[in-house]
Order: sequence, then C-alpha cells, then structure tokens
Amino acid sequence: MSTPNLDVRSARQAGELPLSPSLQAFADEAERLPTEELIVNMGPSHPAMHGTVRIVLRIDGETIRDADVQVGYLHRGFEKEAENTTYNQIFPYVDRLNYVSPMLNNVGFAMAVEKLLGITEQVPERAEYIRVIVGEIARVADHITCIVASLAELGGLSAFFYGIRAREHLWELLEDVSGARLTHSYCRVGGVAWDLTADFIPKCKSKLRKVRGLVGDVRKLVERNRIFLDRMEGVGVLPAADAIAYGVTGPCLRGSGIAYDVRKDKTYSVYDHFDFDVPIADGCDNLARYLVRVEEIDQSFRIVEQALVQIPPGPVIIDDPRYAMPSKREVYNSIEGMIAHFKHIMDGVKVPAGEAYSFTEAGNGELGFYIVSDGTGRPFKCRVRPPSFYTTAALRQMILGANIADIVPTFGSLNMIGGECDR
Amino acid sequence: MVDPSPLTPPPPGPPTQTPPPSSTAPIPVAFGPELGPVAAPAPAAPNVPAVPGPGDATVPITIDGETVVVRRGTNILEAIKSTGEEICYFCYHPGLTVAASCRQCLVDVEVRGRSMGKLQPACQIEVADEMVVRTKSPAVHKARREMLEFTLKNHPIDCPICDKAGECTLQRHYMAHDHNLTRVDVPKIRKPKVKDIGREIVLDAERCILCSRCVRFCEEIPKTAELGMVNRGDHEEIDVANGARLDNAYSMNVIDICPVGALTAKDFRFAIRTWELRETPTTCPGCATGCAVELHSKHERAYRVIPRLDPSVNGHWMCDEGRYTYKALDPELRLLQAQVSGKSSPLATAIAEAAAGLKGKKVAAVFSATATNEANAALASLADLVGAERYLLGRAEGKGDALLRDADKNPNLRGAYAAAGLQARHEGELALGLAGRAFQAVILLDCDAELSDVALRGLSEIHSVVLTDRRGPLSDACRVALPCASWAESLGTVTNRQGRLRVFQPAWRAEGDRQHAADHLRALVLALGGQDIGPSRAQTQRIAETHQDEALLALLREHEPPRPTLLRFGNSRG
Repeated sequence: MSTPNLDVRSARQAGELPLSPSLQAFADEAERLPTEELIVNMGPSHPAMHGTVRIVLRIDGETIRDADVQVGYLHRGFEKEAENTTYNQIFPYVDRLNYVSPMLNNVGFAMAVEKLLGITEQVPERAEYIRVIVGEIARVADHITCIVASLAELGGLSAFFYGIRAREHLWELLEDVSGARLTHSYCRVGGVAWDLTADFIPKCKSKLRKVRGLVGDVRKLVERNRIFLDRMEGVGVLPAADAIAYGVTGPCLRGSGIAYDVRKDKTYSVYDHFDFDVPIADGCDNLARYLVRVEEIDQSFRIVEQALVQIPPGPVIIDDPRYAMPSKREVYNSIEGMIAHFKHIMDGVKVPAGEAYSFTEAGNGELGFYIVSDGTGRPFKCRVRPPSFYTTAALRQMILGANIADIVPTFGSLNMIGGECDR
Repeated sequence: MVDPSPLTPPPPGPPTQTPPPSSTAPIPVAFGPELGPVAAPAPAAPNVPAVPGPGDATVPITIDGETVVVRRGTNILEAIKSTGEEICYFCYHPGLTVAASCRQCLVDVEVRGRSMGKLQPACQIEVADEMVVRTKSPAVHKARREMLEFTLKNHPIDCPICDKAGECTLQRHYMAHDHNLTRVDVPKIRKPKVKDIGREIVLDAERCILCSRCVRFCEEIPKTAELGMVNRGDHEEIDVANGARLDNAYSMNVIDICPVGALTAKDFRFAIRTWELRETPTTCPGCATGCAVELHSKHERAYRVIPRLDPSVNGHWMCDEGRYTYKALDPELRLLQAQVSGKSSPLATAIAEAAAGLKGKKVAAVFSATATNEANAALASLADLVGAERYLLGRAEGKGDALLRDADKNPNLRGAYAAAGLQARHEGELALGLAGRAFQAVILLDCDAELSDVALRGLSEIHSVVLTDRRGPLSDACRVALPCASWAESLGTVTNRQGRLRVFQPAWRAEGDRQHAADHLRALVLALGGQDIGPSRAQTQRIAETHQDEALLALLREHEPPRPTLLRFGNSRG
C-alpha cells in the first residue's frame, strides 16, 4: 500500500504574514469593539451549499460557535417510489442518487437485487468487468468533480476548467457506452444493458491518458499554492475515532487514516482480479481528503487499465428469461419472447420473498441497498444507506470553532451530494 | 299536517323486523305477488370445493410431502389449490365439468404406495385414501413445460394488441412454469382473426388454445350449446354452426372464462389496457338477483362489469344485461350539480329551497325500488316528519329466466318495500294524484322509471324535489334536483330477491355536491326541524348489525373505504 506524498509545507507553517499598518490599526480597533453572537443562515440558496443544505450558524464575529446542519431540501422520495416500481425500472431512479457517479449506484443496486435473487454467481464475467470499468471511470469523474468544484469555491477557477475538461472526456466515454452523459441507467438485474462499443478499449486508453494529464495540471496548479494550502491544511479536522463513530466511510474516512475500502475489505464483483492500493492520509483535514481523492484517481486508472486487458469475451447479461429481457429478435418473432418481454415490463422480475443488504464502494464511501421483497416484481421496501448522509452528519463537529469561510472547503471536501443524502 | 313537536316519537329507522335478515327464514306473505318467490340459488357447480365445510366427509392426502385434509369427492387440482400453491391449468374451471384436455395440470400420483404409472391430470382424479401427490418432480416440470411449448407453438404474437394481455392465463403460466425461449422456427397456422360470432362477442381463432371452456359453458349453464370444435389437429378451432349465433343471455361469460384473448367483448375491445383498471367488489344493480360483480374503472370512468364468485347468489356467472349497468355511470349522463328551477345552484341553497317548499304542505313521498336501503329509510323518516302520502315506484318488468335474470329489474324492491311499508304502486297512480292536484309538494327518489308526460307536467307545476344521479326529463321537470352519488360512488346496501343484503362499494370518491341520497335527506330533515337521523354510514352500520353481515361490518370498521386494487397488482386472474 502506498501513501501519498504528505510532505507539503504551507505558508502558514512558515509564519504569519505581517499586516499593513492601516490594516493593523483596523484590526486593533475591532478587538476593542463590543461584540455579540448572531444567528446566520447559510444556505440552502447558497452556491457553496450546493442548493441543498442549510446551516444555521451561531457566530461570534467570524467564529462559529454552533451550527445546525439541515438536510432534506432535495428529498425525492426515492425509497417510496421504489415500492411502486419494478426492479429494472428503479435503475433510472438510482442514477439520481449520487448524480455525479450514477454508474456506481447502478452497480450497487443491481448487485443488491442479484443477491436477493441468488444469481450473483451467474452474472456473466464480462458484465462484471464492464461494471468495474464504467464504475471506476465514474469514480474518477466523481473525485475530479469534488476536487475542482471545491477549488472553484475557493476561487481557483482555472483548476475547475481543467478538471471539468477531464470529466468531459470521461463522460464522453460513458456516453458512448450508455447513450447518456449523466443518467446512464446502464446496469440491469443480471448484467448490463448492452455490450461496450467496438472501439471502446482504444478510445478508453487514449481518454485516460488525457485525463491523467489534466489531473496532473490541476495538481500543479494548486498543490504549491499558498492560499489553497492555508485553507485546506488543519481545517475541518475529523479525528479517526469520530469518523468511525459517525459512520463515515469512503475518502473522508481514509482521509482520517483508516484504510477501509469495501472493494478490498469485503471484495465483490471481480475486484479481487486487480492489483490496486487503498490510499490513506492521516491529516484528518481537508487537505488529507483532497490527497486521498487525488491518489484514488490514480488507483482507479490502474484498475481500469488492468480490466481492459483482462476483460473476457461473452454475454453481458444473464441468459435466463426469468431475469433478463429477451432480445428484440425474440420479442418480435416468437410468442415466448413476446410474453417474457410483456411480463418483464408489466410485472417486473419476480424476486422471491426475503431481504438482503448489499453494499459497494461508491464515490463517497459505502453505498448500501437494503431490499425487502414480498415475492412480487416490485420491492416491498427499499432502503438506501447513502454515504454522504453520514459524512454530512459529521460536518457540525468539523466546523465548530472555525471561521465561516472554513465551511466552504470543509463542506466541499465531504462531497455531499443531495440526491443521495436526501434521497 | 303534522307539526313535529317534542312529543312526537322519533321517526322509525329502517324496519328491522321485515324483511327477514337471512334467506333461510320464510318470506312473509305480505310481500304481494309482484315480489315473486325466492328464485333458485346460483347454478350448482359440478366440482366439489376442497375446503371441507362442517359435517363434510374428509380425506387426508399428501401433497409434496405435506398432509392436507380435504373434502371427500373433490379433485386433486382443488386440493392443491387449497394449499395456496399455484397450479398450472387452462381447461379446468370450478363451475364447469372436467374436460382434462389441456394436459397442463399433470401430476405424479401414488395411491396406497403404488404409482398410477403415467402422470395424471389433477383436475380429473378424485382424491382418495392414502394418496400421495407430487407436483414438483422433474417429470412433472418437464411435462408442464413441454405442454406449454405445444400450446405456444401456434399462438400469435398478439400481446401488444390483445385485450386479454395483462390478465392472460397463458402469459402468467409461461412466466411461472416455462420461461424458455422458442426452439422451433416454423410458420404458425393461420385461422380467422376477427370473426363476429354473436351479439356481444368477437372470436379470434388464432389465439384460441382449445381448452373448450366456452363450449362447455354454453352446453352446461345456459344449455344452448352454440359453440363447438371444428376440424382436427392443429387446424382445430372453436366455431358456431352455420347460421347460428352465440346470442344467449349469458354469452359474455365465455369472455371471462377464456384463458386467452380468443373471445373478446365488442363493448370492451380496445377500450383500455387491463392493467390500468382498478377493481372494486360490488353488486350488479341490474335486477333483483343482485349478482356479486367487480366494477373495473379508471379515474371516474367505468369500463366493464364482470362477475365475482358468490356461491349463494350467482356462482361464477352473470347475465349480459347486467354487464351494461355501468353505462349509466358515464359522466356525460350524470347530474353533477344541484339545480333549482333548471339552473345550477349551490347545494345549501337547493336544500333550503327544497325544505321551504315541503314545510307545512300536503306532501307525497316517492320511494324507489332502485335506491339503497339507506336512502329509502331516510326518506321514510322524512315522510313521517311531514306526514307524506307514500308511493313506491320502480323499473318496469323485464325478461327473466330460471338461471340468474329476474323479471323484476329493481335491485332493491324488497328493501324499498320494507322501508316504505307498502307495495309498489303503478306510476299512473302518482300521475293521477299529480294531475288531480292531490298534493302541494312531492319528494322523489329517482327510480330509473320513465315517467309519463302527465306525471312530469304535474311535477313541474308544484313544488317537486328529486334526488337523482342522472340528468334527464325528471331532473328538468322538478323544481329542485339534488345530485346523488351513483352506485359506483357510495357505500350502500340493497336487499335482493332472496332477502340477502347486497353491498355497493365506492369505486371512486363522489366529488363536489354529489352525496349519498341518505345524506341529502338527512340535511332536508334537519332543515325541516326534525331529529338528526345520522349520516348514511351510520344507517349502513345499523343495517349491517341487523343482518349480522360480517363482511360489511369489517368494511365499516375501516376509516375510509379501501382503495380499489389495481388489476395489475391483483395478477391472479384467469
């Protein structure tokens, strides 16, 4: 396991900058003025709150004395919706959970249903490889978005443009595969909707090269930037014990020094076929989370590169009309295919009564689906364990005693996605 | 004129002594000739149900390793069904004789330790002592799957245009028992696609799987035997004889029992996809039989009425006439707002106007043999309050037969009689009274009878109040018309020819001014200074308690009427 380079010196550690005489006079005057605590609303209509979170702050000057983090502004009723929807119809809804990496949600949900059906072993290997490839591409897109959006909020708009250009390359890849840039709905119970495009592998390789370059550019832009380091280092501290207590997973947990990654620790799909590392950083602060994400981008590239070499030929969805839709050729030319198609659309995949919890490593950590079936084609109950709900819960502790301006990089480093946090 | 004083005893509720609460009690002679004798109960089903009743001889048999005690004389198929297991069959129907032609219910049977050799059709074998049945052995699965493959071989690829799709037995069994893709690629046998074989029915011979349910139905229930099988092998098809038509009074039952979409109703063809419908268990308001039916509706529009099993009243069947009772629910035909002198008016104004005209006048109260017990009881309270002269009107007599159709086309003549306390009177009597200015005001419960011009003119000349759910000459003629909830919008009861309580359940909510007629009458009684007779629901509760109707009492315990089930979720039709 490799640890990322933490040997970065910030300007703050090098010593405070002296203020100009006029500013110093102003600061001295401010010290003498009487102050009182103030209640301030931050969000939900605030760009740094992503429009979906409201923080009621009790502030004393610039210092945060207390914070009430309120979620729920993007509630879509996903879990209730799922109860009236056939299993395959739920994929478009899970796209909109963590809408920055929909492919990973697709994979997680498909695996949960397969576990309940008991067909995990029968999913074709090619489908598993495709899921890994598109999932890791989505993870890279997720991390890049998190990093550069956070940088844009700190004023680093150039980095944002570099990052978004990189994401655009990744989205083009996913669009080639699924037909949609964002809401892919590409997975199905028992596999994926269709095979990779013929030129996917060379295209993917060239895109990865470009994205690597762009991510390197972003790093060069910020990692030795004093403003960036001042605002990231030592800010938003989440000690390891607290992170565990809050149920934080994913890059935020690994940024607190805990090497927990579902892909490694509870390995699933074909992740055991690849050589990759779980990066950790022990700074417990915004910078540590940034560094973990940057390193994970590299690790995801490693996985994709290996998968592109290893991927076997074969079918991409389970060959059983009970679980998978028949081909259009069968549907239009045989009554068996027609009935199977009809029943899939109208009744859905019949899942035996029971319950299952299945969890995967999504962009923000452990994404769990807990499904209860009553034997029909629609879940009796479908619960999501969204990783960012738990990280958002830890936000209050991370910003207490900090300045208001510290909320922006801290909240950004959590990568709260309203779609999955509120569901 | 009776001035209601505190000393006046409260108006009587619905009479609880007459009619007798259960059909087993004798019918009082006071009922008069027009009520007729209690007709024969539902057509006897030829197959014995598996669940034993009290006093039935039973036999224990073993099904898939589990011992179940079933009624002696039942068949293996019914015994398997009673365990809750789904069994695959097309030709068997509990209300018809056994054909054992589809070979879909083959099971492995062992009696007294000896196998019966070949697989046996479960529908045809009677249960016996020391019988062991296996429904899940590989041989059974194989037989079932191969039979389905044969059945599907010539079945057209019609699901997208088939009215049965979504409630099709073939679709259901394919997914549950076969789910293999086709192994052959040979042209399908072509047969007549749209064949008009009767007043109500279109035949698609290609879709037919030759289960012969419809043939047996026509032979056994209406005993008209119009249908038959012609040709042989895979050219075999259902047909009517040359020149004959499938025109009996019960012909549409073949549509319900058809496991596929071979027989479709002209009325329902391409009207709506079945999975969009919601089903409401209710009662047919077409005649005094009161068949148990399901009303299928979407939003506020009804699309069809199909029979629901009730062994004590109608068995599995209903008549063709009853299936068209839903036509009156068309929103275009309904009275949706209160009217005063032909103009729409707020409900409160209309009630006040109606009450003002009834107060201190010589009033006639017209009970209705088509209205619910609740409405008639409420009208009785009002009639007592204003000292009204009573009339009871109903629909004209129609055709009846010994099976299910009753010549009395009123769903509630017995109940209305009990509430009004008098026999049905001819419409002419009311017309005469109106023409002779015998009363100054009239209050009517609409009874679907076509009133004569004399009566309508009479109504338009005095203060007349009608409670109705439809627009028409009657609502136009009356000074005040109060919009009532239809039989598909309200919870209510009627008493059928056997004296049984039959229940209307709401398929959708009555919006706006539309209310249960009993609730309008309650408002009128209150406006006239009478005692509160309670909402219609309380009256239903009272009636249910009198009749000890457990199902209705359970329904009333629910806070709101249950939402009708979407057919798509029912998914157990066929």
